[in-house]
Amino acid sequence: MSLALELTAAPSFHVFTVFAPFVCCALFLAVLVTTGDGADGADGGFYLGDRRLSPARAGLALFGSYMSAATLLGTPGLVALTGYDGMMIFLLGPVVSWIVIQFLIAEPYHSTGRFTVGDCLARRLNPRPVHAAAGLATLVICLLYLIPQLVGAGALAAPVLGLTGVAAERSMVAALGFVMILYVAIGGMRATTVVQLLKAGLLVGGGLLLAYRVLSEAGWNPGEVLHRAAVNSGAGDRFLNPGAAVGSDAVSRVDGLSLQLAIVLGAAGLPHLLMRISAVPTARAARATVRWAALLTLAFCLMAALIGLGAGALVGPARITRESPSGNTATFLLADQLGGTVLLTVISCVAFMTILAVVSGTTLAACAAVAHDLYQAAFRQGRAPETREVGLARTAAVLIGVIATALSMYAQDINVTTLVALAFAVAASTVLPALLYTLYWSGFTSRGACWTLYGGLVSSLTLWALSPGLSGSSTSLLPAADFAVFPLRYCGIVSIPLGFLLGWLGSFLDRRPPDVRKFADLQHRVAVEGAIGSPRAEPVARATPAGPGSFFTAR
Amino acid sequence: MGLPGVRAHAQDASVPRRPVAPDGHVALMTPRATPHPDHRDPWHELGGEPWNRRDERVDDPVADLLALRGARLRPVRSVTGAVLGLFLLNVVLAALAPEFMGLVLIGRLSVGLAGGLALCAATAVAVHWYIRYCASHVDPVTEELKSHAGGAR
Repeated sequence: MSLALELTAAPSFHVFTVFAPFVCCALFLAVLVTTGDGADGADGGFYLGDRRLSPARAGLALFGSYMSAATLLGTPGLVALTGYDGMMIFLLGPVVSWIVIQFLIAEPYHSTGRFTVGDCLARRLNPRPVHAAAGLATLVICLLYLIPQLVGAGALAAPVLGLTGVAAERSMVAALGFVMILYVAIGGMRATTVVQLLKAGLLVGGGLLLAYRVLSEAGWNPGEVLHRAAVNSGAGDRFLNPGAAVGSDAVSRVDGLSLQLAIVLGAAGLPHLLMRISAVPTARAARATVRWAALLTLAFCLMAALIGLGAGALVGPARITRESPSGNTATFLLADQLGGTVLLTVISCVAFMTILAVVSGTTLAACAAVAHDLYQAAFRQGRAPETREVGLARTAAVLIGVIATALSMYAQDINVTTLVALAFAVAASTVLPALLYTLYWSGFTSRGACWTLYGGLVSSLTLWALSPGLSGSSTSLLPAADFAVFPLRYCGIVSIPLGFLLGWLGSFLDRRPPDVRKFADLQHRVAVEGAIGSPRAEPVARATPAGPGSFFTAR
Repeated sequence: MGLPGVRAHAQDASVPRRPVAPDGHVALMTPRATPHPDHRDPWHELGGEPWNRRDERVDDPVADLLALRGARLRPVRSVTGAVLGLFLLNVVLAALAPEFMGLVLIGRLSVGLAGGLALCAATAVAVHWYIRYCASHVDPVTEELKSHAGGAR
């Protein structure tokens, strides 16, 4: 008997009656917060909020925008089904990726960027082409990340509405897309921050609750959970050894490696995370913020491992795969088994908020790319009035939301993991090399930036189009066609080095020499933590206190 | 704060103040300190007598401080490399030597799982170390730079 049928029998009505008011309250809260003061347009408030969050709260929001529905719903299922591989690929990667963000990106990015990645690059490179390239890359990454999140919302239809089938899933996706558009278009960053804070708190709470129940079932012994999950899986010792998910032949091993590389490096290039990093007051606050987010991610990933193993031990892989072959409903099944309707309701609300928070943040980053990078900086060259830009951003929120929701409604069968991995791979082969070169390499030029952004984008998308992810196998997007020339499912291992190489080659072949003075200015800005008080106003140079010796050091 | 000798010297209004990090490091003649392209060197420009010519390495305190900051950040780069290297080692070993990663240590804990847990611990420790290290070694230099150069330009 499927989960949905069990639920329609009696208790699904309760789930929905709690769920609907919960969503309404969340919406009301966000609108209430947003309409507090109308000072949105002038100083980048639509993109960055008021930039007054304390590091702990900002860290919570950053954690909230990073942990997607995949981590709450998809990963425990994969851990329950594949054991070691699921844990190492989908839980260890996100934890280690914070090292790259914290040590190499966060502070220099905060000191040099304003709203978007393009702002950071344009500080030392030719603004117009660089803004256009960065805007396009950001837009593609955001869409690739947005669609699987919305598709994942379809998995909520069974526990919440008590219905199965395509129509129920589509209506769930449409409802979520509608709420998301409302949030972003009306509230901008402020409403998004509220929903991310709320979601992060709920996520940690829900995770703790489930992990607590799993541990208490296993007599407070994590080893016992491991043991029972391994025994239940039917694979015995192989469950806790490498190779259960990726397979044992050479190609699939390289594939696993490629996926892990993309996850570790790609997080540092995700535009919605970078935007959250810009939304704190100073570079030191950005440092503390990332620390909080990293620790929260670590804690939650440990909980997710426990939840997944608990699902394997208590629910069993047979029942999980019967519900959903990819294991997306394992968390719901575990909640249902451990706490009945009450826990199931809680977890459904948490999952809805999780998806809503992530898609709102991503949509906001996409509208910033359209309105600020593509329209304001590249098309109007900075001459459009602020109100016009913010108005366009709101329009873009509606447009992008509608497009993404429509695509997701008709792509319910898409393999979510492949698309998320593609978004990470694109981010790691476009935005990450461009940012690292801009911040650390004096020889980087505008041509290098365009080559790395466009080249990384084209190469990763082409490799994906020629991979078994799109065609040629039963699990691919177009199972009927077969033009898969490239053997790997995940393209990161080729496209990431290629993105770095193209950046170097473009700079090397550029006829114009790199602007050393602008690079020195950028380094100076990073060194003095040139935090931007009002992000719109360019910082004004202050005179050095005059003394007789200032003649020699005057700048 | 700083070396007493240098402070006493700097109080003389006719002599430009030398940058001193609060932990006492005098940023003097730092090797590899490149002058900022904007920094003027009037003696050099006017073609002064060679024995009167300023040594460029000495009189660019901002460049000295920038170089000092770079040197202070070098351990941060090494730690980044170390953690990412450990992660890659874990991944590559899982791909190339699954038998080794499957060796059982205690109970159900295999080498691979222990490695994953160790990496989680290493990440947490590294993040904490970074915060403390920056607060004690990098931020003082930043403050000195701010007072010297008058904030962002």
